[in-house]
Amino acid sequence: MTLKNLALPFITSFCLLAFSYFSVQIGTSAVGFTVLALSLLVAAVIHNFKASTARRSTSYTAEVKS
Amino acid sequence: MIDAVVAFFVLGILAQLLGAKVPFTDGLYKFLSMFLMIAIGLKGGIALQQHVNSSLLLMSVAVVGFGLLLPLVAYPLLRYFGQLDKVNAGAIAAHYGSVSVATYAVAVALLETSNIVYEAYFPLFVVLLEMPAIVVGLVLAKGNFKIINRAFVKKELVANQSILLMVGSLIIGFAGGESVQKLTPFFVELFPGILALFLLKMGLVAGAQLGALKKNSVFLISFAVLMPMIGGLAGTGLALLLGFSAGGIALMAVLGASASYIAVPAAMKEGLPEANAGMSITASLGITFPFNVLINVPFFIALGQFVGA
Repeated sequence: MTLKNLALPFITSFCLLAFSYFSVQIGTSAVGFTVLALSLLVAAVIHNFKASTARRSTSYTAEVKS
Repeated sequence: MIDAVVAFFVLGILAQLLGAKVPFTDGLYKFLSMFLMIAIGLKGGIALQQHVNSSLLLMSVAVVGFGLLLPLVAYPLLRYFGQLDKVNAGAIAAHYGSVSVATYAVAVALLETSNIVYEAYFPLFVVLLEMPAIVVGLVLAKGNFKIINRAFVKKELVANQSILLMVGSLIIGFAGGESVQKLTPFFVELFPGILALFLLKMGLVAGAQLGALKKNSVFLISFAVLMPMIGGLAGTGLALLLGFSAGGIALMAVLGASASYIAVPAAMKEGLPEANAGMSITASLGITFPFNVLINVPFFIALGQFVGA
């Protein structure tokens, strides 16, 4: 997963946080937006970490074999 | 506190996740969706009897323009960030440019519960927003206008159940005069109860789609959450330009935020059989629909009241 793949989850999380801020301003619940923003951020980072670990182990195996 | 009608949607998701067997036949689901389309059209037609005016034509043109614009926003996001091919990006963009009648029905139910008035002609806009995105999505996917021929348009208009039923009942409600009042105990007063049953089924379907999410990327979830926010804000802007009431602003935002999962998948199956239908349905029904019903619709109703005050 590259930085480009992480861009959209980050933009979406930022927008969700902006919506949660506006929710507070207009007097409605911000919980849904906030929980979703944080969950998406965590999911994106974990997904990115797993993908890069898998890539590294694949290239290491290939090096050992060669 | 969560609305009682919306709570049935949550119940459906929970029942599905817990593996409970809720007997819900396809026939009943089809009946409920048909009821909602007729009820929305009929209510709009009855209300139109008193509200029809010349500015409606101008508003309709603006709404169609809005429907053409939304897939053009979704498409580059799908191509650039999702690195999807033209066919899949076009198909998903069509879903997000079109509208969900069920999301609209939820917004109407919530507005009526809160006694917030809205423009009577909105069912007309729901119908008008069904088609433009399908056309734009197909053109983007194919890269030319050849697919949009007379046979395709005729087939879409006649075979598209939602357009046919909603336009038909809108005309019946408008032209039926006093006789339409006989139908209101069934189609108007039972509307919230039937919608609750429909949402229970939608919860079961959305719950089943959640399983498919594990197989899809974080990108799809991000897109399916971001696009309704963009569409909702664009809808709010358009409603403000057209001078709608607080309820009208909320409904226009909800129409912009919603994604189709009935009319467009059927059209894409016909026009773009090579597109991955599972990906579009997972995004629109598994992510966007629950997000809209549980979080976005209450937000846009509050926003409508805030900016429309």
